[in-house]
Amino acid sequence: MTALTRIVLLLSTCALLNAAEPAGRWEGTVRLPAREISLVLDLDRDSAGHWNGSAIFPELGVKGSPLADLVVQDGHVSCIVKGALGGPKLSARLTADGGLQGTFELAGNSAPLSVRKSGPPQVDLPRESTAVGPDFVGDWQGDLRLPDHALHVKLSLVNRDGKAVATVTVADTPNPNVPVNLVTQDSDNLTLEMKGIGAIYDGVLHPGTNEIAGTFQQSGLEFPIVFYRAPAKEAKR
Amino acid sequence: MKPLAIGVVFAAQSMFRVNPAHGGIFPGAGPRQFHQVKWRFATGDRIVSSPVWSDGVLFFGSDDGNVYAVDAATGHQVWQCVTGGPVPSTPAVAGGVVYVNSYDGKFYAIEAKTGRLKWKFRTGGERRFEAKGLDGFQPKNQTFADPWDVYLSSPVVANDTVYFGSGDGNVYALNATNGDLRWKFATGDVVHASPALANGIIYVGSWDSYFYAIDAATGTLKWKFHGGEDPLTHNQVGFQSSPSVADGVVYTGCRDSNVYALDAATGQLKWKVFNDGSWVIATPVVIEGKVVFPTSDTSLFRTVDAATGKPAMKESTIAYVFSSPAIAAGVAYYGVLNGTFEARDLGTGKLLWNFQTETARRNADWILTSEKKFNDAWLYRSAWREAPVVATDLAFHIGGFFSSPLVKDEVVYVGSTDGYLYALE
Repeated sequence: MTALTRIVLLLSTCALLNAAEPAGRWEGTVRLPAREISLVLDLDRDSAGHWNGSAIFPELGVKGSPLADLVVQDGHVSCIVKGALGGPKLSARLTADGGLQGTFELAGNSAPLSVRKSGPPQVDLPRESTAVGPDFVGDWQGDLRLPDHALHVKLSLVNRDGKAVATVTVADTPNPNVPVNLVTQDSDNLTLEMKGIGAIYDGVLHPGTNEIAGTFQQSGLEFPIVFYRAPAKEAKR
Repeated sequence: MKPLAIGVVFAAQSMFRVNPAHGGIFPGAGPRQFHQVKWRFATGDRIVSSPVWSDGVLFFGSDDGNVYAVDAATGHQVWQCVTGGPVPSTPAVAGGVVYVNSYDGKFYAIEAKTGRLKWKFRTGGERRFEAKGLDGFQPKNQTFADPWDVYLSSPVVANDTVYFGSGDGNVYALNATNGDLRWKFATGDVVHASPALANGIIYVGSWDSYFYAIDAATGTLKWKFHGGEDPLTHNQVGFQSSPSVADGVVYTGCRDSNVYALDAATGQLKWKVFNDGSWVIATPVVIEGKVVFPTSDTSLFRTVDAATGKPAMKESTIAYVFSSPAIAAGVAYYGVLNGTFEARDLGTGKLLWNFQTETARRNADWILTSEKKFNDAWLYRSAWREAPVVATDLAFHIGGFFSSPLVKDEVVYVGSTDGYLYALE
């Protein structure tokens, strides 16, 4: 190795050491063959030192999607943008000039990405379930009114570790147990998010009625369902 | 025209166009020179909504379905509240509550401090204005939704009542505390203009070609005014512009290419100014005896005499303007659909500065010409089927400004179709 090479290598190493710390907000573009799209990447460590992050694609309807399988190591960053656009994979390396360059891979296609640090991280943490009040806790049932028939639905709401957990069971269907990933209560409003089937239940507990009246929303369609307290063995039909 | 002094100013800046009468005049000054982008805040889709300010926090909607609260000093998110559809409506903040309209057909009341839902009200559902053979799209017997119908009605709040229009054709008045319906008033088509309120009367236009004055307390009609009609292409019909009210006169733009001045008490036409076939979508501002408004197709920044409608100033803006001007210390601030933001001296008409979004500078797909005009011949190659709708949607992604700016403490805040809220200083 010549002295010049050593100097170049030393300078390169110094430059890399001086390269930006991965934590931060990174903004730039992904260069698809036909167009450039904007990308905002937030990377940060949590209190335990673990990396977390989220992505924004301002032109593609994606705000704050969490980064899964996030690995930040030796100047490399790789992750999957979870729950959006079919889950693109991002792989990038810190560059000597303080950028982050790599590839955006989706459905077997690959495009170069290039981002630069623009400020401190603003990671969108995934929404978490809230606790539900005593008026909501317990067993409920009701009939989902579809155009040509009704489906009997049971709903159970409990609080665990300060967060609500919902169990939804739909009778007479091949997969009766519907996973609920998010439960939120705001005032009298109850929302159940069922990401696995792309559905939301949106209901209101009217004071004094002991009923949660709302709609089941899926694929742009809305169907009414009123939940009644389960002690009445059969829901009103 | 002599330089204009600051007109009537309002303390509140927490609803569309500053106050219930849609004055559009902001206290204090904005930047007379452009220095830099102070910050920009990324959302997941275009921002058509306009920001409003309350206690150091900016509130606005995004077409990504969220309502946002952003720290005005840092540009960092305070909270986001999910709705079930795009939010191209400008929030109103009153009594610690943010009121806003969403494309999911629900109207939301959200706690300003926490972003938690207080109540929501279900309307008859949203939809865009639509017509057979709209704008000359082919086939002529096909019904097309209007891609330029970009806004949702923005609420006005007063006396514990919140008022807004809906795509279901109604104007609603709700109890601001609990969301109970006080009254609704049916018009003949989509109401996406934002109601103004003055002297106990709600003023708003509908796409049914009528402009309405409605008693704010009872929901009964006081008077209505008939704008132009266009049974052939439905291009020159409907009130998309939101009105402003000043000195007993209602001013509104119209898709029939007129700006109307109507007697606020009777609805009688005082004057109208024709704009050579161009839509007038922005809300007119009245200041120092002049009515200020930009135009769409003719791409002009105009002022006319408020008493007579006699033309006073006419300056070119290069491309369509939907954004309503914010006036502060004699300067008009407004966005242009080509991704340029302009600050213009109201007295001289001189352009003080402009700013172009990065997306517009990038000019992907050659949406703009080298002169920053829309590359119409390239974009609108076909009138058949969905082609013009797709072309329009593509043009919107240039990072343009439907949003109307907010001026506060020498900073201008405005949303762009590139998905960013900008703070310009």
